Amino acid sequence: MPFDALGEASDDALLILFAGGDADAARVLTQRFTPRVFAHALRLLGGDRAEAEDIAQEAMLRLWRVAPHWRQGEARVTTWLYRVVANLCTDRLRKARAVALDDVAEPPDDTPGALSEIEDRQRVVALNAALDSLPDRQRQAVILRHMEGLGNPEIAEVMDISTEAVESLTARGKRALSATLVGRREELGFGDD
Amino acid sequence: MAMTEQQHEDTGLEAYFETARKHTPPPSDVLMARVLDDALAAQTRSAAPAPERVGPVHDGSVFARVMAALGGWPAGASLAASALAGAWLGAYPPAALSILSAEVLTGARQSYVVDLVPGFEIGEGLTGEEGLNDV
Repeated sequence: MPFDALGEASDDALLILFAGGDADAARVLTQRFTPRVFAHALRLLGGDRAEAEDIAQEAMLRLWRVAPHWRQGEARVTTWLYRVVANLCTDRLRKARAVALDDVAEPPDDTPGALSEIEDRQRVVALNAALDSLPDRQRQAVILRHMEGLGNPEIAEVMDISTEAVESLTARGKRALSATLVGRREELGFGDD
Repeated sequence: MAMTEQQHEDTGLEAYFETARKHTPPPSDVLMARVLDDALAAQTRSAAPAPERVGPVHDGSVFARVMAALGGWPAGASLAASALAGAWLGAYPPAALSILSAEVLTGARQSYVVDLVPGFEIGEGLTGEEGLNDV
């Protein structure tokens, strides 16, 4: 199956195919990156789904435009995309800084019922609120490290800072998050675990 | 070994992160469709049209498809031939090329003199070999 075969192709190879007009490559790239780009935008924006969708679409549009000029092996596509998303989110946040905590998005699952599901929602809301209270760069570093799972060198590349600066930002960010969240463990149902 | 306070804090935070990761919302179908539409439109607008394809290109490997996107085997063969020619000229330069390059590199010949009006002598004003036709 050709479409499946492309699923194993490298990002760089897919971009070459895309630039050559291969529609299957367009589909694979869309499926590979849109979820990550959207999730990252959603986290950086503190849960504003509509804005996150717009930013995800814009970031991917920039990828389509840059594809014919992409310099192979120079930067990872994910790194480039995370940087574009961060820049777009920063612009949006500057324009409309405050997203009221009441509006912080909850997980999309609309089937409440089980206690654990409600607790999970409360924890995610609490985490989003705590993240939103961090300075922008700390929030970005913590999200890239602990939500997106990037290593410090790649985060440094995304944020255009040294790895030592990344370590400092994540350490300070986590300290602030701990101060806010760890005291609420009982309230949010973590118990003694 | 007892956990340090820092380890305890990390463990506590990790529980929040894990919950949030578990609830990572997927993009909507509408967004996926919008992104794909943009991609296909960008391909249509692209100045370089897709290379002419003969036969079932989708049966090929990723390598074959990448080669096709770069212009196919003719482009690959041209590239290889150019590379070979360059390597050959570097290893075994023709005699004429050696003389010319030696003159240019050693400064023996720094310019070319082109006589635009053969037979016309300048009697006064400019004298010697300087000026006029040096390029």
